[in-house]
Amino acid sequence: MKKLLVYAAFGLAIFSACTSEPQERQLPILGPRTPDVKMVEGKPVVDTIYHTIPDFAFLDQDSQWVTPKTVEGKIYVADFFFTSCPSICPKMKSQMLRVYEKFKGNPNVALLSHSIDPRHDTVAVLRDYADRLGVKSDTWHFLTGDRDSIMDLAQKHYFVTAMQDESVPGGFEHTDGFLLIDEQRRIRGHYHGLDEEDVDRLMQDMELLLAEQKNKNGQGKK
Amino acid sequence: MGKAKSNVLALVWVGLLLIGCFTERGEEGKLLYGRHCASCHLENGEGLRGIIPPLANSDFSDKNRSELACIIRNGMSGPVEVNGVVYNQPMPGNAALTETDITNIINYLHNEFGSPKQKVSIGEVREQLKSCQ
Repeated sequence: MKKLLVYAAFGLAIFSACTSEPQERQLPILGPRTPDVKMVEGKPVVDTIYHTIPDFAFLDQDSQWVTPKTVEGKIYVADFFFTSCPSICPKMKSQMLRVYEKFKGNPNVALLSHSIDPRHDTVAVLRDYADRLGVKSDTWHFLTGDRDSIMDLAQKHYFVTAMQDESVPGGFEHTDGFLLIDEQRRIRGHYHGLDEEDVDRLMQDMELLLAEQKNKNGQGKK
Repeated sequence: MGKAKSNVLALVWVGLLLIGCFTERGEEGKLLYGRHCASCHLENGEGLRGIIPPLANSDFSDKNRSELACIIRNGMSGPVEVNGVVYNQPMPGNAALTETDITNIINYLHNEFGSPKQKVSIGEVREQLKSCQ
């Protein structure tokens, strides 16, 4: 009986430790990681190298180059779509619009929508698309460029499906994934762009990530 | 007693026929709408700002009530003005939809989104589909 009480108290302690400090919730760092062993003063020190998004260069709806420099010091949300998409894109875009409306004035946030049909989605087409949505390129960039680079980035680095497939409506297969990327270009969250609640979660996580970065930058200055 | 019973049966029978004519099975309309229309026009029919026209309270759907069946089956392209906004995004057709399916979809639009203001019968849809351009 006494043992049981101890267990119960122990369980309760763990429970409250896990739930009582929601402000300390941290987003995971997703993707493969590799250990990096260095010798420091004759002793091995293991550091973790996280998966990061490699360099890229695409054109946006205003013919500006978008590179890692464009998102330097920002968190961003990435997704993959094409303007003539008859399947899931309109719904994804209506959800991304919610994210845009919430963060459009924030200089620390960017949205990158990559076209997986860049041959059709030229700068002019993307320009028209963004204009119709009433979206400005200082926050939301619609990207076009070399198709293989975009597909490669999607599959190998953002870990989402994006491929040509004549058997699906519109000719391209892709996921509804929204990826949340931090200042160091690490993946911090994956969300379903068709699911309103999951997009709510994304917006909460964005606040969390912004706060994390603000804290870190504040500490760095001291 | 027997007569009353057969009257009731007759009424039920006529009722069933009427349901068949107007195919007002809301569930089916909802299912078809969800499968064939909602990914672009969205569940609530509001479309996508500036890109996909709305179906909710759409003046276009009401003015072009007699074209809707053909548009659903064959799609459409080129600029189109809906509630004062010009849209220009091609809409794919749905050649596999039957007359009943199309009737159900249009009546779902009527019930759910208020446009067209008048519902359609399967007879009307059949006639419309004969003269699609």
